Amino acid sequence: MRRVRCEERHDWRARAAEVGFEFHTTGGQRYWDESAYYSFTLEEIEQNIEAATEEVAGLCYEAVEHVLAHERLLDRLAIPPPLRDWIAASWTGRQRDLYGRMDFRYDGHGPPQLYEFNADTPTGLFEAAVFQWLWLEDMRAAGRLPAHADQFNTIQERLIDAFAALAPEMPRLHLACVGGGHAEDRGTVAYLEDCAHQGGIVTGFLFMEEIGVDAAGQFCDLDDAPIEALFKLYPWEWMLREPFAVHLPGARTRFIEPPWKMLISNKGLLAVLWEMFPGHPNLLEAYFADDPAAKRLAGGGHARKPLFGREGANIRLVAEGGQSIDEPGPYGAEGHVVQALATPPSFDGNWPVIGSWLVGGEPCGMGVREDDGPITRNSARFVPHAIID
Amino acid sequence: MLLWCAHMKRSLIVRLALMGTAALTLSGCNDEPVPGGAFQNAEQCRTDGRYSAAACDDAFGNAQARHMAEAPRYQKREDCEAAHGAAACEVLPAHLAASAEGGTTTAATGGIFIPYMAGFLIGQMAGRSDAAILSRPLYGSAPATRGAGPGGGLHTGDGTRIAGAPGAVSVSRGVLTASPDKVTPVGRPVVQRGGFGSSGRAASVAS
Repeated sequence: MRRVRCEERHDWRARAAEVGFEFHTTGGQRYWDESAYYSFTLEEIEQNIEAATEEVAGLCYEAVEHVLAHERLLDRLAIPPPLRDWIAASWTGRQRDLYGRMDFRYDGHGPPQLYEFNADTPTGLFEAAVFQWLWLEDMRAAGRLPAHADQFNTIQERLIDAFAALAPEMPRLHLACVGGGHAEDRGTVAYLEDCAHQGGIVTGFLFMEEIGVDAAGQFCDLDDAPIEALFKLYPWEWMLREPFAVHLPGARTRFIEPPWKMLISNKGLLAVLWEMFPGHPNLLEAYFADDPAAKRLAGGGHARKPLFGREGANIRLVAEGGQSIDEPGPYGAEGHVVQALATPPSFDGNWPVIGSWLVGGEPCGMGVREDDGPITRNSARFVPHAIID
Repeated sequence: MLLWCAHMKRSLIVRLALMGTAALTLSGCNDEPVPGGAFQNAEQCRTDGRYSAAACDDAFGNAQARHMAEAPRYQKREDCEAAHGAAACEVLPAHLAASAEGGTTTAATGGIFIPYMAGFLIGQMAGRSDAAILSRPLYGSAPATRGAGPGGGLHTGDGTRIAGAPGAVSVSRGVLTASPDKVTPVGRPVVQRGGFGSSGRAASVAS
């Protein structure tokens, strides 16, 4: 694994416009950054990142079984009691999931270690699946990367396959995100709608606020037609605490992601995984913050994360010497986990985190985001990667 | 509700094996008929003599209190008057229209029209002289027009016909005991919106 500085394509902004990639720059700061790329060997990808992703996915499925069987853990994960049966039914009914992104600490040496699993509303999808693919093709065509340069990235074809597999049970799909002009959210949903369409599903879009509930307690769209299936780029933990949550158990709507995914996206899962598989090479030691065992991490460096945190908000990093860095934010009311400190490697002051994508439960691609410090925030830059042996 | 069912001594299911009909099942005691009265006002109830003066006054007051929530709703005054009679309608206060529709304000575009309360239903559970008096508001229908079904009677706000004229009536127990929050008035927009999305207005969900 190396970070290689390189010239940007002179026309990359035009290329972005061609494919509808509008959020490459946010708040004046570059988000898409091709002034460098990360170079990996095939062995690093296959033996380390891909293998670790598959391994951890298996651990997570075991953890879901375990959590659903233990009321104590559902309490720990702050899952509202009235909705527990409904969540369990989505798991025992084998409702298929679509996608997720595991964030790993990886520096090219030793096993990747799981920071967290964004299993419910992962973003960074379009840039990983499409725009970095296009970057590699352009760079090869221009002779600036060797012809045999490759990329860990079958994300798009796997998405279309996954939607095609879902099509018989959800021939019509509504997709939703929150209104208010968040270009990244709207762009991600537009991309998934495109993939669903290619998978043979009839699609429609609406904002979360526009979702209706009819007299029978069924969710419906702006034409008052029933929503049979809904892709929501909107976190389950927010939905569960909003007024329409009472209609969830009685609704016939199928959801992507299915409700059981909220057990995995919850940061409390990190503590559950460590309790079940202590010492696993792909895991970092982690505990619920109010667990007496959390004291084991108090002396050394650790990260404290809110159960429902997003974009690095409310994370506190405590170094071994006791100095700490705090990211501000609105989260943390439901509790925290503490995780052994494993700061990303620094490549000339750039701190990359590997985002390993799963579609239909299988690893199929990767995106690298780097920040100027050890906490990967919403300001992180997406940097393309190539496999060059 | 189960308390009131306790006096039942009959079967909950009856099979008629030879008649080729399906088994007759009581869905509960909600369908059981109970005696009651339908009156235009408390005075008429008192004069009738079936209920005490205090019961009549309580029942009328309670029905008035439920009126705004249970009255049938119309987007246009002419629709309301066609259903309930000339000059029989008023405007639902805007704050009630909004709160009844899940916080959205479709009412902002000119108001929602409801009929005046035309009377009330009063009842008491049979065999229980100490039981609370129950009541609901009633609404009148416009005089019958050709092909428009029976007119001139009294209905509940959710459309159950109670009586052709004031006086003693027999109603299903469930009609009498329906709690106000379980009543969906005729014409109320059945689709509520805005119950998802409030947590995310300030932030992208990216993670």
